[in-house]
Amino acid sequence: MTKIAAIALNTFKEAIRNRILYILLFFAILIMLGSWVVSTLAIFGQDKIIRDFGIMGINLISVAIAVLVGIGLVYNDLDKRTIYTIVSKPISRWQFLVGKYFGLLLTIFVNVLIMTFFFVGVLYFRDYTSEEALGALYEGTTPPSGVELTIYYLGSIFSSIGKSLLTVITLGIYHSEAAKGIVETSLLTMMEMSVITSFAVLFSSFSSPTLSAFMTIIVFMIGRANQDLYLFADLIVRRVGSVEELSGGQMITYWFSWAAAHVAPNLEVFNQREAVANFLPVEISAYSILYGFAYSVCVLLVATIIFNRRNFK
Amino acid sequence: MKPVVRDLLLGATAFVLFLGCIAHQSNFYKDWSQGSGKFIQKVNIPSAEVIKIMAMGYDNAYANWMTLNAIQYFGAAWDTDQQVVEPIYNYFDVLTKLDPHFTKVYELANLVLSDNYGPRENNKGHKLSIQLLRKGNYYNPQEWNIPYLAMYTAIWGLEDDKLAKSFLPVLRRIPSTPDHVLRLEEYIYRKSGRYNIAFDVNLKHYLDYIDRDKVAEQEITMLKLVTILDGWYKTQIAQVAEQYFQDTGKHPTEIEQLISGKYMIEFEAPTYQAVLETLNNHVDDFGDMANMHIALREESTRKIKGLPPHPKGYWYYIDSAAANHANSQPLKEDVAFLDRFFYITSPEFNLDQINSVSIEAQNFVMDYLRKNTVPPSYEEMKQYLVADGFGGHFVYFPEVEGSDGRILPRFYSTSSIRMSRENPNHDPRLGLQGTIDQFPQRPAPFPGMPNYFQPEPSIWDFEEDALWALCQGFAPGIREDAPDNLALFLSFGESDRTYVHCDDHMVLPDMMK
Repeated sequence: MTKIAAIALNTFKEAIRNRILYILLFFAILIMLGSWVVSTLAIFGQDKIIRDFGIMGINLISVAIAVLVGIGLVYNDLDKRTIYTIVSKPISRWQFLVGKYFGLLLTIFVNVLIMTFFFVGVLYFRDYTSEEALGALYEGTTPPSGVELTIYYLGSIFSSIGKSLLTVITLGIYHSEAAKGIVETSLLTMMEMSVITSFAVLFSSFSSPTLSAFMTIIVFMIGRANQDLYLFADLIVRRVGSVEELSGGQMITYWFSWAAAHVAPNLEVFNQREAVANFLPVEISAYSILYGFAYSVCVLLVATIIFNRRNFK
Repeated sequence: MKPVVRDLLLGATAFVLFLGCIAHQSNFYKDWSQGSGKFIQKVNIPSAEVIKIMAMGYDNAYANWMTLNAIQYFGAAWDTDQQVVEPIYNYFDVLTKLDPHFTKVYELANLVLSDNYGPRENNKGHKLSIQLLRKGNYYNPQEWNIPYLAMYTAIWGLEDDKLAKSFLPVLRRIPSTPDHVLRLEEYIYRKSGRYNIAFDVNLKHYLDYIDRDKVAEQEITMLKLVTILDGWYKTQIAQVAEQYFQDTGKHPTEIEQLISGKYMIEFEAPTYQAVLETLNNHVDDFGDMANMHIALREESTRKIKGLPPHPKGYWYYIDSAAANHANSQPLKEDVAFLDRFFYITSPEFNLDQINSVSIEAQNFVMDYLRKNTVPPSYEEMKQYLVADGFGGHFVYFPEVEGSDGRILPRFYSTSSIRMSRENPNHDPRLGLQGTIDQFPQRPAPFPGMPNYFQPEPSIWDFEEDALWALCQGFAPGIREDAPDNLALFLSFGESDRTYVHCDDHMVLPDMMK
């Protein structure tokens, strides 16, 4: 376990030195601030739009990190020949691979938490500076002066930072209405990332970064469209009546869709973004967690088998 | 070639190409702004299933984007024929498939589909809008505003009372549904002509508000009670009028024709007075009245023979001019029952008229004074000098100031003079002063009483009134000592003129009746 932890920590350190991480973080923040600007175009549902784009930003950037950082995980060690120094030590190949996986996962988790902290902060600040909140300042006999308003805004910034920190640290147990469900959906994103990262590690263990990126993105797309694929297969059957009546191209399309829907990871089970954006209760089922965990372990086992059989010469 | 020179050449080439690109783009936009290209948005979009796959799980964000587009389109113009509603429906259908919980989108869709698109004749926009709202209700069963909008569209858009009523059970199941929404049940029944049910529903609400001590709502439901009874009574009168029309082939021109002999108005219904008395008798039960509406209705029901009592204390009569107009054309079968007998009226309608003329005239005078500092001339005010609905007439004196103001000229209805004489503190300066309460209420006419069908008497009906008003300058006429014999208003024939002798002058009256 110590060996895995050491490799994971080292992978984490390596990853946070990667400039691409900061570029992605910058874009995440841009999406969140951009969502505020975009929401002003709407005549209703501004809160919903901000939440939607913010949650999407966190999720999308996490996927990007998993793909862009994950694909080079093993390849870089092979390319720079550092793998020789590692495998020559008393450390097995599966430990190396699992260590790499957890290292990347830690990187993603930290990034998700940072993005969540920032996003929740934005939501709290928006709440403090909402029309109702500012309207209350003007209810007195004299309107607030410029200095008082500046103090109020500064106080709102600090208060938002403090509250946001508390919300993230307590994993969403402490939250006000403005940040309802955000941390929970971030936790589900983490779970989703654990599956995607496992695929990134798998592909990285036997192919080039470009090919790994391509295949990971394909898995991600199929995973997201998983339920639609199943519905599509169902639609084909319903059109003709039964599976037995299928023929030719229809048969191939049906079996391909049906098989893909069953084999590929169903990433939609981690999707509570709609509920969170619409202020509906978030339902995190134990099944989803267990499913994500089992799928990741499964993919990592396959990766280990491939990696064990790989010749580094 | 030296590397430096080579790089410079490459850089220069890149720069020139880049400038070319900018020039091309600039030309493109120049053409655009000159009208060769318009910023046209398309509403024909792929199906939700395709978009869902393309959106890769970010359906909500895509739905947001579509919503923002919809708002912009709506604010500008959709690239579609306004008579063709299906693409707009499809757009919102796809949008709500991507995010079925975005409740505000259903409201926007209802607004766009109901108000802006589709041919008016077949109400396609309304029908499709209700279809979307049904979907919204399915996905958001706790949102009262979605079935409310569906009910609203069914009532005012489709005018389908049955459909509107079908949303009531849905609304009742939602705990957050406001009272005013549930009260629409009464409106639906009233609109469909079932006044007896509307009465029961309204009374039930009223009793409920008494139990819950909701004062404002009690007042609202009492006002509605008046409207219901008014409609109920008018319908009963109209039924007799219909019978009269079928027998004689003509509409009645006087109410006497309907309250005597063969065409007697006769029915059972609660009266406003009886409802008040019944409620008074049950004061001790207040707080526990919720299900007593049927019993109270029965207790308030009276046998009405002859002209029913107007719930506000006016009386029903037949506007003979309107009845003559109705007689000059075929019976309108395609309009609502009561609208076919539009000549059955009460002074309440005229009160609206008197107030609206008065307000319009006041605004005109105020604006005129603001711009010109002098009051409008008699000619400029002619458009407001119409009958006041109570047998009187609006009159205007540009030279005479209002008594409690220094600027405004006199403009009033002669009918308001009587009120003024009874309430000397309310000088009739600009039209009707005060409220209807200040008009003496007349009891409903009873057969046998002289003049009981006379509408509210005009100032000319009472000599004393007429002489007083003429001498005071409150009634139209020409003063003998007025410079150049200035005609104060309407021209009239030379005959039938008699000077009225006042204390220090004479007046030639304009005998308007």
